[in-house]
Amino acid sequence: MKKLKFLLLLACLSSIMGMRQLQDSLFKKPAHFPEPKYAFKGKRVDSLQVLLGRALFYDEALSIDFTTSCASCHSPFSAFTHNDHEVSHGIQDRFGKRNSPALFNLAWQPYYMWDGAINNLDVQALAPINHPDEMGESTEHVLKKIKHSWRYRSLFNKVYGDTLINSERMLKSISSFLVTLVSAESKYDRVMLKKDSFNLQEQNGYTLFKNNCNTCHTEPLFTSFNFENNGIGMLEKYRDLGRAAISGDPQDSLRFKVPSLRNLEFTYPYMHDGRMQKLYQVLDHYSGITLQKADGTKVSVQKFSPEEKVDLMAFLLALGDRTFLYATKNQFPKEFFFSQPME
Amino acid sequence: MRILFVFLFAFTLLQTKASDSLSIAFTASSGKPGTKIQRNQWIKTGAHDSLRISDFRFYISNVQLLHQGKIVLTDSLEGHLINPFQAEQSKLMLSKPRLPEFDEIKLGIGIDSLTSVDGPKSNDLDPIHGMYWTWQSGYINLRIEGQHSASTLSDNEFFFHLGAYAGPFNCYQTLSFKVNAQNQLAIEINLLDWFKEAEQIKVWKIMSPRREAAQLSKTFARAFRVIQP
Repeated sequence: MKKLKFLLLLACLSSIMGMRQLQDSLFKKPAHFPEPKYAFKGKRVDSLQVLLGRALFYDEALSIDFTTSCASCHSPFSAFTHNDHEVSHGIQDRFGKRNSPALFNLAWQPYYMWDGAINNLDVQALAPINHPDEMGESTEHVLKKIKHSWRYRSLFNKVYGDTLINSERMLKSISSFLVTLVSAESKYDRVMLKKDSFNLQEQNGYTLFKNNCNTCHTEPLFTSFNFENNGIGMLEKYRDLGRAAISGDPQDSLRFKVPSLRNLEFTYPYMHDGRMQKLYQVLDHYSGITLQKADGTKVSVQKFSPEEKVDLMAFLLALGDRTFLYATKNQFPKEFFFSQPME
Repeated sequence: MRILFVFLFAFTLLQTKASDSLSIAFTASSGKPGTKIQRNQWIKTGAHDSLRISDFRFYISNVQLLHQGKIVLTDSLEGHLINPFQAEQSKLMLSKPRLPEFDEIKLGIGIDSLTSVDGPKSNDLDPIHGMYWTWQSGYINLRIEGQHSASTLSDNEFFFHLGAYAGPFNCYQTLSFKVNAQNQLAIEINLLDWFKEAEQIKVWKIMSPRREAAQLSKTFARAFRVIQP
């Protein structure tokens, strides 16, 4: 009997602990989304760790000359991409060769970057930190800088229970912030959850979308995450082969990861090399096109009339999530950078 | 008297622990037994060619001890960074309170796919060691740099950063050796044989996953030889 009581007590305690962990998790799966791919097991997404990750994300100290943070190319007000240039703008006014991707719903992605070069969100930050045209740093030196800051020493201690600052902890902290960037409060989402309804134009656009675009930009994430050649060809100035440079397979030449269409109105310019500034240019490109997908099947997009383009545009605008865009929880963490040392 | 007993007991325990560890020492060799290659030492590779190695590091992982074909011990560490040119990094240590009887060792050269997709790691697998590609996720399984008189690069330099954990260019290799159970083992890596293959391939800068990297990784695994006392 005593044993049974003990087991019951143990079960209650574990359940309370589990609930606390769940309540503290800043990651929430929207009801109409599939299960995320990110491996949450054994990882924390609690408020302190997310604050640490957010601080690192906004800190220019991650670049060699203290000028460029992750947020420099991934601003919250453009759904975590930037609108200034076709391609990313790094230290010393250097340009990369790709349009910085928007950051949201990353927990559902199987791999990262336009070519899928990064296999896990937890190692993603290594790429821009060490890229000579982006942040131009070395992971080792970034750690040295962070260790010099009492703010980071204090927060690492609070998060991890000791003062060890290493790359694993730094990277996992950044990704704990990144997984909380969930965008699921657009008009489309409200309609799907039966809290709103499309107007006639949006409804027509949605029908056109489902008939022509949904194969690659699959709902509700609006991407299949596959690597596809969308027929825009290669710009001579970049000579970017896309996925083929990673897989070594010539068949993958000019294939890039299909981007999500969510928040499209905020994430211009468009395409992997940012060559299109306006949404209508994108619609003009796809109107009447036939493309061969990576799996060998052909996809034909109908030729859109001017009225259909307007309807389609109305639907695409319904994918914008302003709540996500202006959420203070995703913005520059003043509470960290302006904090004062405790007496 | 009691203090003496406790002291003797602790001493016995320490002695037991010390004897229950396995050390595997790796050396770079030119093929002839006992001919150790030193860092930056010029070595003749044939009638006309010579080379010197400035950096030689590789990963050993998934170490298992077997007895009569059955696994009796699996290393808990996911990877060991080995540098035969640095005494403190040239050995792989397996320490257990009691080391089981074994007659075979299995190990991986490089880091396997499961570990490679599992996110950032610490200690020997920390990306700060220069053995991780930041632009494309994955470990560099084997890194050899130096100069070779046959190299067509400037200053006759060569750079071999061999890695890839999946796909047609997978560089991860596994090896197994029959051994007499003992606490110290030595493995010689015949780099001159390995360079014969590199000389034929004639690509002196390999720093991304590619066919030649996979080919040279296989040759590297064949260059390992256990030196039995």
